[in-house]
Formats: sequence, C-alpha cells, structure tokens
Amino acid sequence: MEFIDQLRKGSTVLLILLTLQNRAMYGYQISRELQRRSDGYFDMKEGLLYPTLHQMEKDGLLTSEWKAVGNRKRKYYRITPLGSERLAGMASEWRMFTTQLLKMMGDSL
Amino acid sequence: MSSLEIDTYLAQIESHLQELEPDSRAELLLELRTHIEDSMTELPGQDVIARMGPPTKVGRALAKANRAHPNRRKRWIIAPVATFVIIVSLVPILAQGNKPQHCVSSLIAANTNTFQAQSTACFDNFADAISYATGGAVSLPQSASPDEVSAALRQYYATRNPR
Repeated sequence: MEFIDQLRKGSTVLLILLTLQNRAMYGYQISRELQRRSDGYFDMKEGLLYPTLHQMEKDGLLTSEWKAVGNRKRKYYRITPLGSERLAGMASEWRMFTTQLLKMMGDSL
Repeated sequence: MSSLEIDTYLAQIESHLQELEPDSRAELLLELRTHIEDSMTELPGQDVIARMGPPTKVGRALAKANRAHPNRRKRWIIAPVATFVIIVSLVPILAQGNKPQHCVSSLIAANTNTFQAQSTACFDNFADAISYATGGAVSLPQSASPDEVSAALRQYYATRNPR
C-alpha cells in the first residue's frame, strides 16, 4: 500500500468524526462534505465509507436513524458523546504527531 | 447506468452478507442503493459503480463491520469425541478398525446459554482438527503436547484480537 493510502486509511475515522461533529448526515452527504472541505483531496471509494460508518456505530462513536426525505429513505449518522470524546483525543494526538514530525523534517529536509 | 447494472452490483455485495439477518441485510442494501441513486442524480454520466468500489471488497468489509453481536458469532470448539461416557458405545466401532476422532463444530449462539451446531468435521488427530478450526493458521505436529497446543492457540487469538 502506498504511503499516502496508509495515511488516508489511518485517518478515516478522524475525518468522519470531524465531518459529523456539528450535524447529522447521511452517507452520500458525508462523502460529498469530505470532498468539499478538502478540495477533493479526501476522495475515498464511497462503498468503503459504509463499513467504516457501521463499525463506528458498533463501537458507540455514532448513532443512526432512518428518515424519509421526499420519496427516499435515508440513514442519518450522528456523533455520540463517546464519539466527541474520541474526536478530541484523536485531534490532540494528531496535532502532537504532526508537530513532532514536522520538527524532525525541518531539521533534515 | 442501468438499473440492471445496479441490481447486479448490489447482488454481488449481498452474496457476502449471508451471515446477516435478512432485515439488516435489506437495510444495508437500501442504504447503498440510495447512495448510488443520489450519485446518479448529482453526477450524471459518471461511473457511479466504479466510485463505490469493487463489490467483493465492499461486501467483505460490510460483512466484517456488521457481523452479529458477539454472542451470535460463530464459535469454533474442539471436542474430542472419545470420552469415558461414550467409550462403551465406541468399542464396537474401534473393533472394526475405526479410530476415535477429534471433531470441530461450528456453533451459533441461539441465546446467551444455548448453542446450535451448524456443521461438524472430524479428524483422526488433534493437530489436524486445530488446523481446520483456525483456517490453517495454527499448524502443529501430531506429537504436540497439550502445553504446545495451548501456547499456539494463545498466540493465534492474540494475533486475531490484538487489543
């Protein structure tokens, strides 16, 4: 697996939690929002978004609810208090990680 | 993109979801179908199926993420059939040249106290039974001692459940 793919894979949960931190969204919306906020940089295979969402729900980081919108039923995902807690922890770790990594790169590159 | 292509794609994914309850499976497929329809509406002309990803990969990942509650997961147990309780009934079989066997049963938890056997496979020796039960991940010589078996199984489960 390419380095960038590993980075993306490792940050999928963080990205989803960031996307859902302020409002509930359905899968397609999450996918579009990720692309919009990253200027297209985070463009994952959309089918693979759902296993992650379902796993996060099973882990208690998200809850979901089906809603009828027009003539379509959509499953909305919402961040839970545990998800918010996890988001804060991950964001803090990510900042520490990038700070130290950039420091090392600054010394040698 | 035709509805036949969508149906085919979803059917390929569904083939990996047979472990799930029918309601969960239907709900999951509806979620994917809605996503595909949304994509087709907003991104006409794009290969929506390609954006979703290979059905086998998506199906397997969904099956893993949606695997039933732990007490409904398949449990593999090793059950040596020859015990003192049934040794009497085995004597005639042994006399005909059959060996006592080691059997592996795939169990599904019906509730918190009851398991139902789904399938059983029997082997001449314990090492082959262990190998079968772990999908070949634990391979032991036929002369392995109980301590060696325990150590190998501990390592196997530690690898499967690193947390």
